[in-house]
Amino acid sequence: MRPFERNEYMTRVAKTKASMAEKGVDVLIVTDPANMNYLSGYDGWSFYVHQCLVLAQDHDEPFWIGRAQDANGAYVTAFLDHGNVIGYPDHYVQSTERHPMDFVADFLKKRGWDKGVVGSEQDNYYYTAACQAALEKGLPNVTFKDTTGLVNWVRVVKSEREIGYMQDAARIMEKVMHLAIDRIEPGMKQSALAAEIFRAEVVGTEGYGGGYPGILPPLMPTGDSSNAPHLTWTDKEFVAGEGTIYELGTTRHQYHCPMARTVYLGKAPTVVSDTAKVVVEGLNAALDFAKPGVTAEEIEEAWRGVISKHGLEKESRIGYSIGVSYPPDWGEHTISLRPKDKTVMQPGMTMHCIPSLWVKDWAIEISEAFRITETGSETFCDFPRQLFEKD
Amino acid sequence: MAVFERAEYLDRVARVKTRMARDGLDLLVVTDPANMNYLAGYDGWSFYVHQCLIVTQDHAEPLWIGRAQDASGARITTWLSADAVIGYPDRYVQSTECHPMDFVADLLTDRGWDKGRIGTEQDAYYFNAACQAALEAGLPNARFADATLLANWERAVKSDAEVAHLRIAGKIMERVMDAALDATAPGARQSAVAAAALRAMPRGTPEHGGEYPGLLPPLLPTGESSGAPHLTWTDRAYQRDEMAVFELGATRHHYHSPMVRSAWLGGNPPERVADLAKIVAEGLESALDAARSDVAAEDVSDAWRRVTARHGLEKKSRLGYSVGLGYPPDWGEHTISLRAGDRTELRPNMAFHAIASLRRDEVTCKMSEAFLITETGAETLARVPRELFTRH
Repeated sequence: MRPFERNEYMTRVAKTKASMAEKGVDVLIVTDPANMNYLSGYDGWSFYVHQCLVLAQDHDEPFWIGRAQDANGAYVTAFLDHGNVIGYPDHYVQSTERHPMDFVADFLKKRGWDKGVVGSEQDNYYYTAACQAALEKGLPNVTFKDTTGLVNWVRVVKSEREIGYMQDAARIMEKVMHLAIDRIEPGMKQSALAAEIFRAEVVGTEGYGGGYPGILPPLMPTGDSSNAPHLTWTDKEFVAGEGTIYELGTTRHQYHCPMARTVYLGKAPTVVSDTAKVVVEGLNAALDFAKPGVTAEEIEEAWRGVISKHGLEKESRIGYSIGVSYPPDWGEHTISLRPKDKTVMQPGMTMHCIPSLWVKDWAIEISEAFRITETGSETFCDFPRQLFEKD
Repeated sequence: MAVFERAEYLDRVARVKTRMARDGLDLLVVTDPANMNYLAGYDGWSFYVHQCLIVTQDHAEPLWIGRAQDASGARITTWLSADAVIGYPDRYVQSTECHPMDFVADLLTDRGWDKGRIGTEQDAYYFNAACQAALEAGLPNARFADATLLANWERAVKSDAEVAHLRIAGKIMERVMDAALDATAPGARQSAVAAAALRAMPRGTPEHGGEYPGLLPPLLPTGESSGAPHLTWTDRAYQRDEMAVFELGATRHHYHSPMVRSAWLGGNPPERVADLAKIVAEGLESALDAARSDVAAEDVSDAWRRVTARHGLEKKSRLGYSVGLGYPPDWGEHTISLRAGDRTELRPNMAFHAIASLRRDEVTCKMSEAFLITETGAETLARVPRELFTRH
């Protein structure tokens, strides 16, 4: 039922505890849904109410604390002993009188964890200012430490099985991107294409279906709106003589394979197709360069070397680490392929390299998700790396 | 390009300012994406980076502050004038050295808005602990107050233009539920049913496409997971003689019409299950009958409870909640609840989602309606038979 064995989860927990010890953290409160999944297997759309894992140096498994009605979901999806799954009563939900983190503070007190250093993910989605305020109020003898990113960094090197799920997601992505390029045509409503893409992401392959990506709606800026990267679809029609950028994601057990491609309805002007060639050349250079031992910023430099040869320039981040994730994002918030990021590449790291260049007021975007192998790098998808022109 | 007329947005902003004045707030930092949409029209999947609106008593329009690359999206989707849209540089994004709320604090200081009482939405999804800490550090002369639901409460009574979008969402919902039911049969993969429902959501009707609902993935509790309401789909095949539940959303311009229905798979349901479904439908119907202008929210849930109590059954969680605009991860408005103790008086053009759900003998049956309070009663947004379906 669960995507990983108990011992894989326990290895992750042990690595996290080692990182906690190094940072002097006694108890860690984990609220990022991807981190909760990584350390326990928990997988549900319940992050719209407050929930967390609690890791302590003196307790082997994490505790799952969430809304009582979601405890059943934790029994089904998490590897945890049922005694480590704690539900809070419904009167804590969206109440103006009490906060779910009051319950968590009381729980920590009962366990004798109301002293020492407690880490919380203070710049994370869903860990609101009110969460931190409730914990500080309920645990006056605790020293709080911001541990945003602690578990995320434990996640950067993937196991073989994690990579296997990303490869599964890649098989779905190849089908999704083919469909997106096949179906688009002048006169088609954007919302109708979004519908087909949604379907394909979840239908998956013959052997297995897909989950939902962290950036859930298909992003496909087109024509006038193509310089507004995060607008979603409208009822407007696709128009001949305009370009569309697809930034799509597929998942298997919430492990992601994103991909971007650019498609032009009609024969693209020379400046567009020439720019696309530069993007591909730069992307190839970055992928060729990526291998164990080089740094994140050096991969970006390989790209920049190519485009500056063509007299071009662009903003500096061309990629980021990926893996397990939940909305609203699929990035891991760890490694960035940009200047000053000196992270050394290791086998099992997985990245999305998504460079783009601007032509007047719209962009060409062509990306690859890839992993660092023992000797170099390998893309997850096998898909033509080019600008698509549809006559 | 904004969805509503400028006058409607100005009216919304004026009502929020009145509420701010009542609560003694000089300035409000709005981070909830639904509230940002309500006041400015802003609509983009950019809430994964920090962004906000600033509403102050001494500036007519709200200011939009977000990542520079999203400023063009703000110019396209909002009614705001160009100089009210302010982008912060990319170096603030996911940095360990500076925080986007440092930029906001600096901007407020430059404009002389660094004193007085500032409201923040301290328990809203994307306003995290670091946001509050950065504002407090950057604005030492300001006093902060929690204004979590201030703008949400202004959204409770919808305008006629908003109601029109809700009704279209209801029409889309009819097709979404049809698509999910059509795809369901013993042996069908759950993920295939999810795919069919997801396809129908943006596809909409021939006239109107839809967007993505706040509870985005179709929730399909079934079999061993039927007591776990927030698990999404797996590749498990539906089995004969089990209950499948469909909790789905449809939207038009992000206005929601959610719906839940249940189906018994593989044949006619056992009598006990069919009876349970009748109680659920009866309870839901009496709640809808009780819903009208001037009654209290708890009167609606009382009507439901009277029916279930007669049968010795009970739903532990609330019957329903106010709906309208919403973004992931939720479509509830977080204001009015249909539950005991909520004395909010219902008004015409309020909209709710009432979820009737009962569990007996390890089987859960669930049905819901999204409805609008009218001058004379309640009007459901979608018309789908209120019964237990069967799929063979």
